Amino acid sequence: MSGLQQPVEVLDSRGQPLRLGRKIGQGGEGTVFEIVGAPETVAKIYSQPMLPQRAEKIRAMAAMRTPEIEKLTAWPTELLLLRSGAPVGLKMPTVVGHKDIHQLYSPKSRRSEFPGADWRFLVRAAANLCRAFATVHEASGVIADVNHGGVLVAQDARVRLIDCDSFQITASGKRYLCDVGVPIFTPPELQGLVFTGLVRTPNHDNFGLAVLIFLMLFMGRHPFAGRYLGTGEMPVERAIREHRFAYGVNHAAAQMQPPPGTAPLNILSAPVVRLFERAFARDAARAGRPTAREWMAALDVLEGELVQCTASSSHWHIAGLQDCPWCRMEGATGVGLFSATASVGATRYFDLDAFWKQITTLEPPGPLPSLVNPVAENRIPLSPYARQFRRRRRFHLPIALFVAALPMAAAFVDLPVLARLFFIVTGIILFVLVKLVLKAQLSTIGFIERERAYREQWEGVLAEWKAKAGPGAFDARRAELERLRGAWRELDEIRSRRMAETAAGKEIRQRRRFLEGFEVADAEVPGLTPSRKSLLESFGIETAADIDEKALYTVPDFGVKLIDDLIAWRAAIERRFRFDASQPDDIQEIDLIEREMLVHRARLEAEFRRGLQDLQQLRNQILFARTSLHGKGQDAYIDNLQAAADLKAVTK
Amino acid sequence: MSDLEQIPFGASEFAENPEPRCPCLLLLDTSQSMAGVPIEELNQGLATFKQELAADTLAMKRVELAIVTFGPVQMLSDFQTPDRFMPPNLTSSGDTPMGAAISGGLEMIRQRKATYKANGVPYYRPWVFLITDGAPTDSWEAAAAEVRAGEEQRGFSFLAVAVEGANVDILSRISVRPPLKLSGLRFRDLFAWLSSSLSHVSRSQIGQGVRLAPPGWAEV
Repeated sequence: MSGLQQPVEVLDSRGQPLRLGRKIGQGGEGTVFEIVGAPETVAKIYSQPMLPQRAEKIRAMAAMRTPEIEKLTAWPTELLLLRSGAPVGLKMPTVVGHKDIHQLYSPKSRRSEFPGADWRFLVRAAANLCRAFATVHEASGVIADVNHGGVLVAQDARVRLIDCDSFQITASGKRYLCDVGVPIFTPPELQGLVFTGLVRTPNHDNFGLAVLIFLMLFMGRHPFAGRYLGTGEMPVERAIREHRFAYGVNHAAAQMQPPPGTAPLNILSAPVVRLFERAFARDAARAGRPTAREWMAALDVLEGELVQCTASSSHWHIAGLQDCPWCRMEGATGVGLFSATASVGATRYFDLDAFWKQITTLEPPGPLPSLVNPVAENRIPLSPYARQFRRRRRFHLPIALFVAALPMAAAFVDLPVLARLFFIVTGIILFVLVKLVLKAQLSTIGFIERERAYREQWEGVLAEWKAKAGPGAFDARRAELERLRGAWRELDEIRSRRMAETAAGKEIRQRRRFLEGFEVADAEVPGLTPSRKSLLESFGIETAADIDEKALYTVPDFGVKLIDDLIAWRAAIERRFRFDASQPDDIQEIDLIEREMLVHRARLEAEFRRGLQDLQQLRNQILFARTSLHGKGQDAYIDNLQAAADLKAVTK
Repeated sequence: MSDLEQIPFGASEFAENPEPRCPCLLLLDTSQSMAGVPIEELNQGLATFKQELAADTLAMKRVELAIVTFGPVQMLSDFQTPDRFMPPNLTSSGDTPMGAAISGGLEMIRQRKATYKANGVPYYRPWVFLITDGAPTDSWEAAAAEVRAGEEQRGFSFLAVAVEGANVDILSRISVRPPLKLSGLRFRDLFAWLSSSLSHVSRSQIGQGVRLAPPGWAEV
């Protein structure tokens, strides 16, 4: 629809025109716009003409609104029409300050998008999600297309369901279906079916609900995504269809293992474990999965049972566990699961020792493998060119001897001595000449040039090999991280030193605070008239703490006498000051140091994380280069050996 | 999680972000013939690519990029999510060892899939995107056979993009899908399209076909 960007006139259900504002979002079905003058509502305009059935559904939905539904969902409030009377979209409440649920359940985005969220928060948000599901179910609705894009969460763990116009609704005895679904939230009994015309039930929803709760409680892991021990691929949909719950009591029989570094099911209280087992059981389609209300009750109890980890204030878990599951996970993976930045002085969540294990288990690429092969070096056969060259050169001597032999033979004939001498000399000259001519025809220049070209090529390849396949870049980055590790350890020392300095400054600060308690305005000093007092104040001299000679001399019209009296006033007050070491120190000072340390730590932590990624990348790049450059290197090496051997053979 | 269970390397990456992965491998021709404006435009295109992906929070967690350049063959980056991906500044040099680049790249995909499986992380069918303006200067027949086998087993989708001057005949013998011809040097449009296609795929369901927008950057 071309009118989508600048929609034509849209009317509300009472026939009043609406002014659409900025485009807020775009989905598969349509576009959402602001409504000018009504910031609490938005308009969704469909990109395809609306079927009468769909329009009727929206009207029915608007009619069935209740305060509960409105609190937990972005329920359609009315149908929007074109002036022609054709339905074009719907009006619904604006949901502000909420974020996609995947931002909450993935640890990586949780740290930045939900900085205060710990496991209590996740349990609470999951319980709130159940409230939303229960409300829809009790209004005889079915969410049907349960998925991670349909739930928004606020910073206070309240939840809103969106995309409500796709829900399955029953109103006045008529059922409006939902034609879509997302496989990884679809129960086994519906896997592979066509959703169009399919009647959905709350029991189907309750599968998707259990998956969402699992994602929230288990750090974004899908209950059916595990390590499959059989052969072949095991996509999540297939695992759902075949009831292979990776964390369940039957996981071994299902040939599934939870992924490494994940928490086991028994970090939950027994009642919640039972709910998951029931939700993902083979007979759940028949026997019925836990309802939203059952989940809600169990999660509310769970939240009340949580205790804080003794080691980390951002960790909450059920009581009675041998150790904190989040400490174990963070220790095993080096990943901070929850943000601990909520308060200054919170226990550190970045465990460098645990993280360092990741760095040490990363196997270095090792020394540069050699391209040189001493065995090949001794066995290199001469090239056909060199062999031909040598063959041809072997004939030089016989040919020259043969040519020289003719005049020489004449020397043996009975001739005068002079003539004999002439033939001998002629023979020698001929011999030399023939040898020279033959040699000139067989030049070694070609071999010299070949040798140089291949030597240079080999040198080039060797340099590239050293640069790209050598461990240098990896080792250097690794050494850099070692250095940072030293800096991290020094932080504790720096912190204690700063704290000690603060303690030393404690008396100075206490004295100052004491002096600040005496205002110049109340001072009884001869000659210090009210007008002089206000003059002092305008120069920033307000309390006894501000009195000092230098400052007073800058004030106009203040004589030596008056200045001396003022200093004496201050001294008299100061004599009454008694330092009390037991008094708590200025909290702000300590806060400042702690904050500074946090900043340092955060920066170093980011460096470590980046460093680990770099090491991983460098290692893979080096290993890749070793494979991809090896053939070329070997070829260049052999070519160079060959050219050198040939040259040696022909110049011998 | 038993005490004795080994944690494979890379587990931290998936503990932090267990979202399903959508791997995309770029095989980029950086041979001498790409010198000048083409390589500049390619660099710009890669910068665009990162920017556009960064606008999509879900794609930032699901898409993984790897780059292999050829001329000479080099792994510029192994698979990583776009937030970690730094657009490179490519320079052109050397010949066109396309066969070695393809084989090396496909091996990277095999290894990455093994890592996904070992860590129980679902994944989409990987994309391989070959961009070239020349013809292979090494033997490419083995690589072509690997591409065909991989496509048949649905192990990945291989797409070849021919820049002006490319040997389309050989490309169509390597790629099962017909190669697309880049009109002019519209690398930026190409990467904007690739980004939105990957966003689209990363929102789709694993194993289901996705209808992509027509590539506006290709010659018809």
